[in-house]
Amino acid sequence: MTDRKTLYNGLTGAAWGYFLLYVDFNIGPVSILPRFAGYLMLLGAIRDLSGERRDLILLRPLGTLLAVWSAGDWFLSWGGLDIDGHILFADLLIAAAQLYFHFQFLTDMAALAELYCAPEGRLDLRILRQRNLYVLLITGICLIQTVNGGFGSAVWSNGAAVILMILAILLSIALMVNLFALRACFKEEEVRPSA
Amino acid sequence: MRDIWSFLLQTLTASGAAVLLLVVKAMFRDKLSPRWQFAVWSVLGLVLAFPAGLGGRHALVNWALLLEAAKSLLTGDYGTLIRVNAPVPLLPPSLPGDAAQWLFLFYTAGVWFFLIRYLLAYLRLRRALRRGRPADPAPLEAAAERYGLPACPAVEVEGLSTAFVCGVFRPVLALPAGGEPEEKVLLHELLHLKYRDAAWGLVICLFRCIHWCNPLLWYCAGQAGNDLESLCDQRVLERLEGEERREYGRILLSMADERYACAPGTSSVANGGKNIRRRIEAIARFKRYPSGMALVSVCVALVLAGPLTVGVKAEAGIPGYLSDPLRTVCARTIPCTTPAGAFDAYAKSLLAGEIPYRAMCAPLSEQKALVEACEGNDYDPEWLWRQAGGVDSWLDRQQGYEIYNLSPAGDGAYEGTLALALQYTPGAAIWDGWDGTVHTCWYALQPLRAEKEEGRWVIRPLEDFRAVQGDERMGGNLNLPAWEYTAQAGDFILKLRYQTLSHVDSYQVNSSWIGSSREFLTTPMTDGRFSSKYHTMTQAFYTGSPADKGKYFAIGISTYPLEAGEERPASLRGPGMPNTSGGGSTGEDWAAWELEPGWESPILLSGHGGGGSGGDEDWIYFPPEAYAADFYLNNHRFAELTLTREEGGNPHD
Repeated sequence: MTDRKTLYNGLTGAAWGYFLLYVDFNIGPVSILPRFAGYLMLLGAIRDLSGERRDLILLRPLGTLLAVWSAGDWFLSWGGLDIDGHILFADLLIAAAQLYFHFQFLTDMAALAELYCAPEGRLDLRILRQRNLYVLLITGICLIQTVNGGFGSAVWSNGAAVILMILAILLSIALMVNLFALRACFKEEEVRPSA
Repeated sequence: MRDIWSFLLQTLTASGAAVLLLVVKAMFRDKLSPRWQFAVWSVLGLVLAFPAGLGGRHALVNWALLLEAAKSLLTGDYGTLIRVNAPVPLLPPSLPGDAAQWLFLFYTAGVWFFLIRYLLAYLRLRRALRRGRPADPAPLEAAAERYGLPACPAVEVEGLSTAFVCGVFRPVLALPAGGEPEEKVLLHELLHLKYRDAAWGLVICLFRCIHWCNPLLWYCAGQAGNDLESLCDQRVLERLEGEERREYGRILLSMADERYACAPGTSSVANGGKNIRRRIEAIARFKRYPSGMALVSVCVALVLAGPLTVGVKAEAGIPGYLSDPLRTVCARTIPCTTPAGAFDAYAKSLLAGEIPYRAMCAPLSEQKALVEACEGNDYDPEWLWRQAGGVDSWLDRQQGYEIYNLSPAGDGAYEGTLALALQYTPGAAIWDGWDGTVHTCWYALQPLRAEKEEGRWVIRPLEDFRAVQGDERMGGNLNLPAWEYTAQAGDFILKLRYQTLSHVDSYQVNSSWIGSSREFLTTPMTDGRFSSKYHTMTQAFYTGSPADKGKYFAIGISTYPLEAGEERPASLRGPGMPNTSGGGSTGEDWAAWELEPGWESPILLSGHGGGGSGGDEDWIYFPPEAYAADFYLNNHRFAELTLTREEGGNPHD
């Protein structure tokens, strides 16, 4: 059992980690909210929350891989370069790692919500639903990229990709909101004894 | 696969996919269950089952490009393309004549050797099973009943150390002679039976035979077999509780040093000490795999399967670090997949002076000459232009190109006239100072034919280039080739010219803080689609006596395009008020003019045009069969006509 303060810190890292992953401001080609910082915060969250959710430990190597990849991308962006889309092998590896990482991380966040948050809000179910949708959207976008890469860009696929991207943006906002709501459950006065 | 190169393409493509899968599987070893670990091999199965390089696509690495270069450099063969017709070796078209063909024969012999070896091993096993005696069915039936699984005949065989299921269609459970079989071992084998795992063993064995000389794929086959056993272990553990699970692990451990059946169509609980160690590790993780991962398991497999099976289309941009001959050799592996792509590649090869671009759309018989043209250090960017019979002038690259009067030419081919803008009058001595000549609207024209050759579109020039000075009236160059429709009415011959212009959109708008500019991109779009426009112009040629000209003070026309088999409309639109003209979206056209005293022939009556682009589809205008027309003189309808296309008329002349 992890103490409340550590859990709260871990969830703070998780919520702000996702904020850094999804929110981006650029100066020229360089992001001032780099994604690798988001992954570093998620790795911190994994450290704090792994006492409560054993499976989270499994995500450490994947989180480190994603952080290193994002950091490489960010440093290259200073020279106007882009790491994505040039080495298909690495792109596929990263896509698979990302899918799994977020799916399991959000699964564990939902489990924490089920355990600690007021049942009437069904925060756990909301996170699980959004997790599923998120993974399906990312898979859909990857498959459309496959079609474009294999058969040439088509109007329908570009349109579908734009729709999926818009949905993914809306979903990431909803996810961030729910992760901050989860964190709020761990404020000292709101913590219920675990079942 | 009919030659060693196509085998190499197939096996190397599969090897790339195998490496990726091995890395991904290692990444998810402790995260995704044995069910996923085995199922993900189906991605490699798909890669192996489909011919590599279909549609000019590749997975992970463009092996076709590298192999094509190696083949040409080693054998001097430029006239064939490496193509995988089937994922299995087929009989070569002729007896071996060179080292590569002998190598393929050796490879094919190896496939047969392994097939026969496995077949004999299987037959030996079946014969041994026939020699066995029927086993006591009670323990097997009890296990089958307890776990709700189907049973099969069982035999006891002397000399066996472990149990295994043999056969896919008429499976038999082989048990070691003497001694009561362990219930958990029976459960393991019954589960193999239920899920017909022996069939997977057969498939794996087949791939082993086809790729017998690829150690990486053999390693993967071994891993897949082991994953199949791990999956069966998981199914066993799902049916056991507490101490029984530990006991199952102990049974497995006890089999680590035992021999096991490894013939195709068999599945054995024991599969070697090293593999059993891995399986026990997986068993130890049985309860530790994160639960509820089914969705992401499928999604990860889909994300990997897509690019590995569909592949990525070869980019027209050839690596710049390669030498020019090598770039030309590689270029033929980037096929033009559409007629528009072939016309585009041909036009851009001339505009950019890039021989590799020509290789993308050149017939195979011309490939060698192209490579030889850029060998050595004297690469000449004008070589292509000279070869095409180019005229003595410079091309205006930023004007791009147009294909005039594109039309089907039978056998699925297309013909059209390539028009490239010239910077000055051909042959003009521009270096000797300007002599007052306006060097505008000069075009180099060349009739071309696009046809399919071995699945790729190629361009065959029909004639050398010739230079023509166009004019800019009504947006189209009416001095350039066109279809002509004619009809006679009284003292007038009416001529309608119909002209189409097609191209693949290649302009890029570059924006910056000082404004934006339009740039013509010379990289070929090998899968491009046509955007087109058309122009018409109708003229009246006076054939009567000059003395009679004065009796005509007004002239007008209304035309309507007729497709093949289409009836003339009941009535055509009137020509409208004098000195007005107009056109409709379906190609109809009308105009009325007052004639000034002393008017000159020919009289320009009407003209219009239209255009469009189809995105994913070609947008091409084809000429109408004929034109229905009403001809007006002195504000009265003088004749109801049909303008017919000129017999034998050449739209490329």
